[in-house]
Amino acid sequence: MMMPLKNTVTILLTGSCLALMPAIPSQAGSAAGDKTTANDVPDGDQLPSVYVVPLKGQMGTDIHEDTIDEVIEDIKAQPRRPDIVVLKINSSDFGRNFHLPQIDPSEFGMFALEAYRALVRNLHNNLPSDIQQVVWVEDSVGLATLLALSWCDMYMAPDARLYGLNNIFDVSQGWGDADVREKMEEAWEGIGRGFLNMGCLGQYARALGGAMMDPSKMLSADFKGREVVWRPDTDGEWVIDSDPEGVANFEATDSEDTLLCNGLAESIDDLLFLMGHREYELNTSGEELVETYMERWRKAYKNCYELLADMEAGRLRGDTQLELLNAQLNVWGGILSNMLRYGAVERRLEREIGLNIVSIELRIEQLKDQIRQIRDSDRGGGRVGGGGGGGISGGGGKGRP
Amino acid sequence: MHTTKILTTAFITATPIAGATVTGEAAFTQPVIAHTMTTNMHAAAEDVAIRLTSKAGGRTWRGAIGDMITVSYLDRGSRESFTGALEAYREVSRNLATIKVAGANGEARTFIVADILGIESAGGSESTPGQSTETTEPSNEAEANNSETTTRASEPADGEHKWGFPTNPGPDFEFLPRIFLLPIQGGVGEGTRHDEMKKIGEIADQYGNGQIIVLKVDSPGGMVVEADLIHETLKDIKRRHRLIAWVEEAISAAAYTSLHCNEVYFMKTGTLGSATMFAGGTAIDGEQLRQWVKKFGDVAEESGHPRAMAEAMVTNSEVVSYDPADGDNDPVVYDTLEGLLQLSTNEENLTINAADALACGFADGIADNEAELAELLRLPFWYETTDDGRVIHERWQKTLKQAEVEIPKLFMRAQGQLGATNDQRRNLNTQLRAVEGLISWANTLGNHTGAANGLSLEQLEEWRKTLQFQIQQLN
Repeated sequence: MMMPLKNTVTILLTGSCLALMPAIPSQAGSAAGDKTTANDVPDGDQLPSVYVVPLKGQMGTDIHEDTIDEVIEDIKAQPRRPDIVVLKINSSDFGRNFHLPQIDPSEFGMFALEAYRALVRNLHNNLPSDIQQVVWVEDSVGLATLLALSWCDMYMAPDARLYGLNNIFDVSQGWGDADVREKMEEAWEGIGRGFLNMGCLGQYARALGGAMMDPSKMLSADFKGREVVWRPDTDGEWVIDSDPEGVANFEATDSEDTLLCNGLAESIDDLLFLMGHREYELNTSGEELVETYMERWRKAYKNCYELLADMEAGRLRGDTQLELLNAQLNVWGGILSNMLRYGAVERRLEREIGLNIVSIELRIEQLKDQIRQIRDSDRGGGRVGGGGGGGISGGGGKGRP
Repeated sequence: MHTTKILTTAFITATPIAGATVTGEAAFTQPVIAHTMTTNMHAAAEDVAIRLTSKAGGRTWRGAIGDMITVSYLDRGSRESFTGALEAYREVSRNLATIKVAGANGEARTFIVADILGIESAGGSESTPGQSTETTEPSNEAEANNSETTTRASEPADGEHKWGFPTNPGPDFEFLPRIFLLPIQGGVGEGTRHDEMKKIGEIADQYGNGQIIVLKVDSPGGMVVEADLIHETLKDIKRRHRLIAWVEEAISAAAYTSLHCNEVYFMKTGTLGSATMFAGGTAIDGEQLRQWVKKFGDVAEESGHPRAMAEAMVTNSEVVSYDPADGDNDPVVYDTLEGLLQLSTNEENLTINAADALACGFADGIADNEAELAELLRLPFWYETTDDGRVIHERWQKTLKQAEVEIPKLFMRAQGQLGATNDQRRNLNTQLRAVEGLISWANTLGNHTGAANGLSLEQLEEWRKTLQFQIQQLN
């Protein structure tokens, strides 16, 4: 019996698209998309309920472990438990011209492997085991690729990329001593390979993960029937990476050919069809939740920069030093409040200008101190100097909102 | 279709728990008892869908309570079956479900669903592979998800602690050892210290020798001097108890810590290794390196782990490879590259992950949560005799967080950057109190952690004396 549920829409893939799909599944999505209310579903049959979790935008902020906590609670609270959770990844540190970075470097993914590991483990371990979880990669360049490889069932859009794990190698390159550098490389790569172990690639994590993270490592593949045997050299039937200065990256078609992904899907309809569901009920609650989170944290982040800019430019209101200090106190209080509410704001401001909750709490203490001194002096008829405590210090200068 | 019941009956059977890789005295067939604190129970003519594991081809059996079924399962390596009426199906936890089958002769058995190789209805319908759609009413489903029962099939004598685990396996399993879990999290010398390990050892001692202590390891490594203290502490604990490492992240000194445990289990994302010692950004070499490599190897060997693997974690020059098990033979680890699979060449430092660790015989199993670990340890379910380990960990982590906030504030006060007034005497007293606060923190944190937070007890004492002198000068 279909029940009218909030945030759900029933999707029926029409006959015209079905005619195209079986022959070329990966291209069928373009024809799919007619959405009708499935009032023709016989009583007693329930369509699979599909809950989509967008993992899009910047790794570490838009894609944040706190949001995933909320998503998991939301999934558990759904009146009808989803049958399938689709983790839709779209996070790219580089645009389509790989030689040009994103215009705004502040949008590069954060290096927070432990946080991402917690995110992955949270989804794997804290959703009911009878909910099928699949990844659908629209595009992944950077650490999002670790997420993509963390589930056993992974699909990709036809133009999607699995790129950018050299970040994990790059982070160790600041060590001067070769042995220490190797230790750090291997430690981070070991953590990185852990994601592949989560995604049913454990047997080949060393060969495949190593080549995707470490430029000096090679990668090729042998085929034994439907099984792909990844090799950490160039002796396999299919050489993937023979460049000692570059990591192995995968286009969607390469991923499909090497069975790294289960198939290519242009749309959710296409994906569900590949998974064997002609009709399904789409639950949009997760998409709304993630969109709302992204909108709110970014608004809070922008607000922080506006507050800081006002303070830096001397636009705080106050005729006396006491009033100005109180205005500064309000500014820092506002920023602290935004950080406490959104972990993404703290992560971003810490990377950009070295501000974190502890450092702001210290500033607030300093300001309170100065305010107290002035009040004490006023009571005693004298005045003291002061007026510091504002401004921004630490970190690498002010970034862009 | 799902209802919540209060469970009052103890279900016991002699089904072996399959899939565990346990050796020696622990490798025995245990009876299984099904109980927990949160249970979704299906009974009394309800439709049920029982999702079987991959060993049963991922099939889902659909039927109803009361249906006659034949359950196939493995008993000591041979396939057995049991026929009877399905009396109950219970989702004990996320990873543990059981069914109770009442046989014709009055014998009732409870099976862990993960152990079942197949279910066949008396009418001939088998469990079907790959089906995922279920015909459950949403409202009842949600109700069932949120359901909680207040009693168990076999009520543990001491109830459960705040992490939701029963404190004992029940009266039928009193022969099982007590279990204590200590999470160790953070740098060695900060979040990971011998002090907490010593405490959990002492708590286990209160129950006599032979208890199980699980170190849940999540640490990026740290100070060698603290690692030495951990070495002494764990060596002592191992004399009396069964020590187990359950690894999420064990890098460097944390790898060394984990190697002390005779049994090592990995989480799926687990990683262990990268133990090159360095000081001032430069790796140690010469005799110091030789000694460190030897120490690592000795500890590993004493705990039953391949020396070659431990040594390859310390220095690039040591290599390691292995032949995986082939059915007849156990895996073989080589300190050369002659093995089929290379783990570390002479250009690499070894860090090992779950799948490799299991394949080469280094790990005893892979468990992503307590229920899975219980299965590998051949326990009926996960229980923890006390939550002391978790409490100790939580308190210490809280202390570290407080230190992170408080110590910078105290430093600022001590330097006169906070709390200053126009009154010099008052200011000096404020500074003195702050320095005394720092001394107190230095004592709380101990030498290594204090040093990591910039606290030197010696220097702080000097600072205090200076401030006291300045105050006296004002008098």
